Amino acid sequence: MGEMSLLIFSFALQSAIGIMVFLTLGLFLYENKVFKKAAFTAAGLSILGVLASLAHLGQPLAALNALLNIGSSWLSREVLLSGVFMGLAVLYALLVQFKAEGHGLRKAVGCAGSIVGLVDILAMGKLYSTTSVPVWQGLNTYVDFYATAIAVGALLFLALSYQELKEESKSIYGLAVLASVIIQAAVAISASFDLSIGGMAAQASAEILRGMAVVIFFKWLLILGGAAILLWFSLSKGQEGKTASPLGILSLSVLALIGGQLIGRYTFYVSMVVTSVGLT
Amino acid sequence: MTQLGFFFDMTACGGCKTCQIACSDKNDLKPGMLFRKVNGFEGGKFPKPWIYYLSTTCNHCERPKCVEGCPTQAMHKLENGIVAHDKDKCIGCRYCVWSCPYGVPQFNEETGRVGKCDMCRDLIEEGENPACVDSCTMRAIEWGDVEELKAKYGEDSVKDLPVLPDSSKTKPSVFIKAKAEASNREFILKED
Repeated sequence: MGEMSLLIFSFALQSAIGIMVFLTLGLFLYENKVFKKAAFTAAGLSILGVLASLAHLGQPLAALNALLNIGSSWLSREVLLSGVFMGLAVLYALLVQFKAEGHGLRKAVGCAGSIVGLVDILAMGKLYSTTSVPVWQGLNTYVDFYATAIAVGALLFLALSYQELKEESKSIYGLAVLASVIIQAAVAISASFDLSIGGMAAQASAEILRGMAVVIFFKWLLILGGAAILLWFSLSKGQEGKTASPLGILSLSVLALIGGQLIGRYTFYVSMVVTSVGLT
Repeated sequence: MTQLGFFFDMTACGGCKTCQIACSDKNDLKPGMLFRKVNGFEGGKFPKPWIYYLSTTCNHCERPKCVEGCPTQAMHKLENGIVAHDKDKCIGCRYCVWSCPYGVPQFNEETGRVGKCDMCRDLIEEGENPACVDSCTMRAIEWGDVEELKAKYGEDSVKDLPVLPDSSKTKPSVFIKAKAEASNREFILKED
């Protein structure tokens, strides 16, 4: 697949944004916690994503030219927002590492990063849905991107901050992940129906997706299964010792959900068919 | 602001592809890249089979999606309405390839940049015709100001066909004198 770098970029950035959002919520929910692992993962994922996006370019050394059309290009806006988000994620990680005091400053940077990140996902959705690729047009692209951020972000934040949150209720994360993937699945079903009654390029995309039916089945099995495991884990407080290792269950949920979302993002790019003369 | 555009007479075109070859020659394109392409569409059944050819290139749209979406402003509109491409600004992101509903911009793996028809602006500036126009043996392609083309061919021409994306999306600067068969919604894209 030719868009592997974009797959890494979009997935890594959205995951990093999701972590930043839940990390910032955590700063307000729990006193005196810094979530160091989550902060460094968010910064690392955002750097990985931006570097991967450069690999997509034919002229990576001229990448800054992508900021020349903020006025009308959603891609320009996305590049700017992704860059600013990466900067804020790295700044937060540096504050955690080198400035033990300054809880207020971390909150401010976390809030700024979360807001910039959430607007960045909107820009990502806009830039794909306004192309001449019917399978990317519509609500599904936005929902898929936000659901990835919320589900993967919440899960990774919980897994990375497990020690810090050991005594806290985790049900909010289980519920957030399950709700986001259920909405994601519902909108995807509606989008696949729309695609099947679309034009020729839409039909061509639908045909590609039909050929990947087994892969898509496993995608949803992993996503919904991973979310269900997390919900069960997050609601079963105080039962440690009675079940298998909590971290083992959490890891299983992480692997399943991230695996499923990655498969989903793969099908997103593989099913791309651009309209053209004779393929409207 | 003026707006230059193309006129294509489908009723005269026999699908010889001379325009396609002349364009590729003029732009020194490697195999696999075409700035102008001739497609054949066929349908019907014996004793009434039909075929028509459509020579297409950049439509130098009034509202070009490639220009709107290009993050570098490499894709831009000139004073005369031509959608031009500045290769020095281009970063090879290929967003224009996804944006154009007509599939016009082409990514060149060798140069890492995109390319497309610029209506042979260098020839136009010297008072000549674009290569495709001069090379057409049937004189099926013309170029000029869209208002003049509209006055000359407006009543007999269309911008929308079942094989073309909806013109309301980008307002293409093109006029096509279509064969009656071209309004058929059942067609097969002829393989080369």
